[in-house]
Amino acid sequence: MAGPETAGPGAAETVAAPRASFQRRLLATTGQKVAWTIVALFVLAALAAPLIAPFDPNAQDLRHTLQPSGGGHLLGTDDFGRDQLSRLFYALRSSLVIGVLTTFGVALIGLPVGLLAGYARGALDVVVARAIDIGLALPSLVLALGLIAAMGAGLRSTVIALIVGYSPYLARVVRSVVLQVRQEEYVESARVTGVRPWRIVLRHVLPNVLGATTVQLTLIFAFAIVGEAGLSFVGLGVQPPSASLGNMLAEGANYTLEAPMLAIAPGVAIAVLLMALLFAGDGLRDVADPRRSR
Amino acid sequence: MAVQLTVPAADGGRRAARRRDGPVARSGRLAGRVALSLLQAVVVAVGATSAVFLLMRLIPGDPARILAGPGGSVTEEQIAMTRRELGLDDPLPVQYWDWITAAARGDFGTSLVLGETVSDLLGDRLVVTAQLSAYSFWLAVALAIPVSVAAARWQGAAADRAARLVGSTGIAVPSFWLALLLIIVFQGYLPIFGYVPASESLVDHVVHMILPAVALGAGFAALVFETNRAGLVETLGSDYVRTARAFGIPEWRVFGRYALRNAFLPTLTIMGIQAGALMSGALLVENAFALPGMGRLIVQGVLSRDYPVVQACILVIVVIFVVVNLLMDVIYALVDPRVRRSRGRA
Amino acid sequence: MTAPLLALDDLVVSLRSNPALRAVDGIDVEVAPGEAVALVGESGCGKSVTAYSLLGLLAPGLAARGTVTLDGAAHDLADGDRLRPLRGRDVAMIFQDPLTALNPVMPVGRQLEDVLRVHTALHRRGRRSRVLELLERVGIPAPDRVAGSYPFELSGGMRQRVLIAMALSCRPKLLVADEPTTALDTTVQAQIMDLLRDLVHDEDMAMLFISHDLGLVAEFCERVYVMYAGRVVETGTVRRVLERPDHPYTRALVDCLATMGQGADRLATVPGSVPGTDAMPAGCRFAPRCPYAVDACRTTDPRLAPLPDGGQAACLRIGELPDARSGLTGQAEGTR
Repeated sequence: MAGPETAGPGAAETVAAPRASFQRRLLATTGQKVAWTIVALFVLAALAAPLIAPFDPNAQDLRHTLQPSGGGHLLGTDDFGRDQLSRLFYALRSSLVIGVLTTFGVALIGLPVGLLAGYARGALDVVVARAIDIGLALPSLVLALGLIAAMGAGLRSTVIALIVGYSPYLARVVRSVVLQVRQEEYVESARVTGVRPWRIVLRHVLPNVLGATTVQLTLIFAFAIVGEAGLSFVGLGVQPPSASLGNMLAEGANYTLEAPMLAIAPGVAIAVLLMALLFAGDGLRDVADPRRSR
Repeated sequence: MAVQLTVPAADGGRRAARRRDGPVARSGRLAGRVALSLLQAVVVAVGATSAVFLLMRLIPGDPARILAGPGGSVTEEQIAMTRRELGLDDPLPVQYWDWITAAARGDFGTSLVLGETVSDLLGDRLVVTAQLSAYSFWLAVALAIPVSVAAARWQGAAADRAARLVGSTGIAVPSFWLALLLIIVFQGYLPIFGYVPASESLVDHVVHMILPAVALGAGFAALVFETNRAGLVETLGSDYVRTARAFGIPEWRVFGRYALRNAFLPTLTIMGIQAGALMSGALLVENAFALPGMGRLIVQGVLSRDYPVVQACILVIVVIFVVVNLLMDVIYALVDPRVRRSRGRA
Repeated sequence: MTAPLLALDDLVVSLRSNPALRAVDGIDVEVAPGEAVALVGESGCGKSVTAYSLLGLLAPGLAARGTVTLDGAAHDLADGDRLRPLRGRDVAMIFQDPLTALNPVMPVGRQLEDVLRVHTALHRRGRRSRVLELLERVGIPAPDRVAGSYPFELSGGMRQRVLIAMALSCRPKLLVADEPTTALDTTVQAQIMDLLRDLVHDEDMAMLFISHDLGLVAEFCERVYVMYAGRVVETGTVRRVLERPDHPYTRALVDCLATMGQGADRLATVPGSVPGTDAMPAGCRFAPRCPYAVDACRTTDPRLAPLPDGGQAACLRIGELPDARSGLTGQAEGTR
């Protein structure tokens, strides 16, 4: 309908039909289809690791260490002769567990805190908003290091550290959306007519926040995976012999000359998964959270 | 971590507290704005350092017992005395105050494990980490800003599309993995490991720092590129750029004074937020290149629960981060009159 | 008519990605020196695109074709950059939304100075004082204070005055005003229009006034081009076109205005909507919405043809239509 006159620089683009299903709109472009397919494949590989892994990820074979790819070992073997591909599948399992737990944890903390900070007025608002600022002033990884110092290295500490590190980011986004929504007329009128605050939040504010929250949680899932890799890379995350993308990289770092594949393969997995998740997050933003899409 | 969560929209809104029909301002309220930013920075710094302080109190194990001597050979009395000396019997706020004021004087206590004072341990390592972060930052800015300008100028051209592809890949590559890749590629050509102070040999210093700086700066550069390009595309399509063109302002001036300056605001915000990620990333990248920075120290500290060391490292990073963000706030206010001339946050 | 100041000849604006889709499809517009000419029509009919192509300011996705003759010199519209020397100097333009049309992070005085720097030989101090003169000229009470203000610190009317001052700064021969009052309150709207009229008169500028508000057009302009779906469908003196419109589309527009003038509580509109560039009807483009359309209208594309009493209209059934109601211009006063 819109003639070129009414549109901006992107004049020629046609507007997608507004009532198409959520799924249809999300997977509208080839890029989005590819991104979500990659994410799905990674999740499947992680879930099905025991079925598809050609070897026991922890079975050592000290006569065949640091083998290049071939001879039944698609990605070669590591310094203990363990099959690299099998370890990669199991590492994805760790990443998936950590990603999912972190995402849930962040949603559980960040969402209510953000709602509170956005909707409360007066002293409570100031205190919670400042608390979020303070959380943001502690770089997530550094905060995680501090928490791990207190709790000891390991998967449990990693998850808790990542939850604490990332919650302020969700809280901030939620707060800013709530601040916008609460100025809408229907929220104002609900307030004026004496609807109870918690009811307003549940009925009017929360539904508006969910889009932005979903997008943000997709990103947090992605960053939890990188976060784990970073912490495990320096030996503070998932502890060997359990495989994780980070501790596989750490091992690979010792053999960059002899077996570069050890350091390359897990990194490729991280980068591809991350790229797919970021791209998928962008697509999700366009569909679920149009007010923020670029 | 290569990237930290970024929410340009939310943060842009936070800083650019717009007042559409505000009164004609008397004069620049820059001083007031800076004072406000400073106050907020102090509140955040006190909060964040308190959090660090409390966190370290969560560490299991009694530091006095560790410090008093090897287990079994010390009496309860000696431990009690050490506790008093360390001030561990004082109320928490008093302990915090003692700790933070001592830290301000450069006294971070003594390492529980290494036996040296923490400030001695930190000294040179802090310099290395700061250098690495700073080099990466400037490398990224020097690369990303001109490329983003060119990409926005020739929007949609093959070079623009290529740059965007590299950019979105760069964001997804963790710095510590890129470090490994660079090691794999350049081993045998460049010295990979170790550190040479600039005072000893500037050339060797640069040669040793170049790969770590590239590894750490790449993701940051990609993010700055994407933000600045997106900002430029938006401002170049804006009404005021059209006005400037309609009045015959030369294209180079339209680009510099009208488009780039406005596009730079969100970029500045991202740079501030990402400064923390950059420093965190430095800790990891140092590990890959065996640079004697804070990274190794803090990891060892965490593993051995050497709380004065961990506390000091985190404190230093947090303070740097807060100061960097304060600087960004001030620059932001200098560039954007809407922030400078409105009272505080909306 | 004397030799025109501006002559737009066979302007076509099409999508770069698909040249068959035309936002403007072969129009001619002429403006005589000192004359105020209106370009009217619903949004999406190609008015603003016409104005922007005049200065080579089209969005990157659009391409123009045709020539513009300004003061006897012909320029090819295909290359927007070649039109740059005209911008600001010969032709100045003011815009619909004065808030977004000014750089938000630059004091408005500096933005005025920027324009003077390009087009005049004035030095720094000379530019400063000229800025204050200009601001005073457009009725700004405290020019020195306003010059140091940022757009967000000024009201909508003040911002539009600043833009007008910018337009005046180089004494252009033609002022293109793209819906200059649409974003303003009604009272401010009247002030700005009065200011524009005085300036155009005093400076002996011609004005191309783009609007969908026939009331304003009736009051301020001498001739009018009515545009529909990228074509000029009727043209002539404002008096004739608005009092005795010949084209059914013009009639529909005039009827809307008349209804509004009589205090209708609902905003009157022409039923239906302007067809998109990708869905142009085969015959007359207005036929699907036209109450008088016959079969021939759906197959034959009418061209502009001279009318007996001057002016032109593009309609197959000119002369067969019932007489138009008249007396619109009297009612139009009431809308302001």
